[in-house]
Amino acid sequence: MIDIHTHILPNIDDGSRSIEETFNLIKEAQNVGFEAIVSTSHYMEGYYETNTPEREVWINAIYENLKTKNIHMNLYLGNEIYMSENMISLLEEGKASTINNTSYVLFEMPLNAEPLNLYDIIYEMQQYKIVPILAHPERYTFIQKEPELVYDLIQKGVLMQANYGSIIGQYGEKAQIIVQKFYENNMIHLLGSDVHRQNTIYPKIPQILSKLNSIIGEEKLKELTTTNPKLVLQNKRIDIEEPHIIELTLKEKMLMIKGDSLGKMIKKLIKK
Amino acid sequence: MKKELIVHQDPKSPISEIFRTLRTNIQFMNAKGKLRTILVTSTLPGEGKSWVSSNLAVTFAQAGKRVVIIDADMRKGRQYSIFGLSPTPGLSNYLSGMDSDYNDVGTENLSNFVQKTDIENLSIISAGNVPPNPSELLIMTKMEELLDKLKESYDIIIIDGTPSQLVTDSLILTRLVDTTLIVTASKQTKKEDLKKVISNIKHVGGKIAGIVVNKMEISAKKYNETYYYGSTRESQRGKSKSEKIYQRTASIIQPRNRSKENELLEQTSIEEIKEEPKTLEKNIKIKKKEEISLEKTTDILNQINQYLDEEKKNLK
Repeated sequence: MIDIHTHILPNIDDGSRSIEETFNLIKEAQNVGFEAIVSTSHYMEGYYETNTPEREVWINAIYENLKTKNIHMNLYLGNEIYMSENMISLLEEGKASTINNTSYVLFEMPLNAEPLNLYDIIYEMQQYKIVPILAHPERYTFIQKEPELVYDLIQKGVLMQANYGSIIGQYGEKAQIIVQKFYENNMIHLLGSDVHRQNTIYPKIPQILSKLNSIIGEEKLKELTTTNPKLVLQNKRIDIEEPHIIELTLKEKMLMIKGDSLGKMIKKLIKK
Repeated sequence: MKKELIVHQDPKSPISEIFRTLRTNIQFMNAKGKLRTILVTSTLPGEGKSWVSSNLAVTFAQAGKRVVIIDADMRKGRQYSIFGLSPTPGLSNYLSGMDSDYNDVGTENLSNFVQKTDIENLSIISAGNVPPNPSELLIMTKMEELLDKLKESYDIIIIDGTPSQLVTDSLILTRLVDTTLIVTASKQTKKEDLKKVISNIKHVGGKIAGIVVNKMEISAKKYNETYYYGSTRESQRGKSKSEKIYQRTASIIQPRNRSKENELLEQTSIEEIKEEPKTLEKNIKIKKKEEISLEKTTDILNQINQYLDEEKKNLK
């Protein structure tokens, strides 16, 4: 298995907080069956701006010392880039990096509001032959309310990376329900842990794998955990299955707006 | 490239066979060699226009024709993603002469807008940036000129249009092309909508090659028969009078789920053709403006060494 989404580098972003934690995380990953990890530190203009050469030094230094600690793990460099109009220049100037220097870019959006220029940025990336991978689509609140957006993005050539933890409710009930729908409708292409801290997601991987196995089956699971991430690292094209449009029931729709302003308004109206 | 490009991924599958039937039927109508531009439209979205037009185009290319697909759905075109190509520059940029930032793009050189696919003989023109006025762009004589220019270097031009019930784009195009194919979806397309589209197309003087019935649910037995005998015209008989005339082309079967498809493929004992995935092109040139100072590098290495040393001490 290859973990395509992690925050293992120490003090680069909100991920690992010490070198000790970094080594522990890698060990945890090894224990649950990962053979390779892509380090995808956040790259967010103004907040997390550690450039590619610096992260390269970190990765190499850590990799060199894995053997002394008896850990066998391949490490690759990448970024989880916070969507920006400057994405292309960030990559060209060596500030942010694609995954393992391939054409694949892992990106994230603001969690609560759909960026207005979403499609423009995706178009621009594709003009540069970049294959965009959207990190954890199930976590965005605007996608939970309108999962059709994911269908649309896939049709436009965006790949979807779900987080391992979502299916067991690590990111709440809404994300859990919606990610299950994504799995059932061919809408997930890659799996990543999005690990930030030790003793959080990695120990739960075996439990998650067996749950996923019952939803999508062994063959598909292997595709998401191993085959497709490998194709990404090799810069090979991923041929995807045709997704199906998700239809939420009224009950599910109500659940997705639970707690936000529209949901509260409806609740008030019902009470009256 | 997507798996939905079934005639390329699996040329021996029953579905590919039916696409070849469709090609043969169109070629048959093309006895005098005049039929070179085909518009694919539908009544409403989601009936399978892009799927049918891309697969049909591949089928023509496999027969040795030089084929170009024009993605004329400038609102929601997705042909580029089916073939794994760039969305821009495309048709809207060519017709308007502008890119997304309103800068001029040279339209003298058409080859800048035509992208080669991985499939031999097949090129596409993407839809381009979403313009504010797709219908107006299509009315311009430039669209006609484009088709004329393309005819010089291609045998078949397939235009993936918009749904005709929603917007007028396809009605504009139907006058410019030699023939029009209407894609409908079984149990989804409404008869009234189809009638309306047909009469609209006829009203503007367009010619209709036929109707493709997509997403038809069909039993495994029938499916095999279709494969072996390669024609579904018989099954089309006896439908409503208004539809009858137009149903000269084959119907297309798109299985609802993959497990069913696999089951069918097993039954017909078709060997699976697996293609080695292609390596992607890289277009980002890292200019390496960013550098790391020697002090920083040594600092990182020191931090790690310090940690390892401390750990050793603790072990002792």
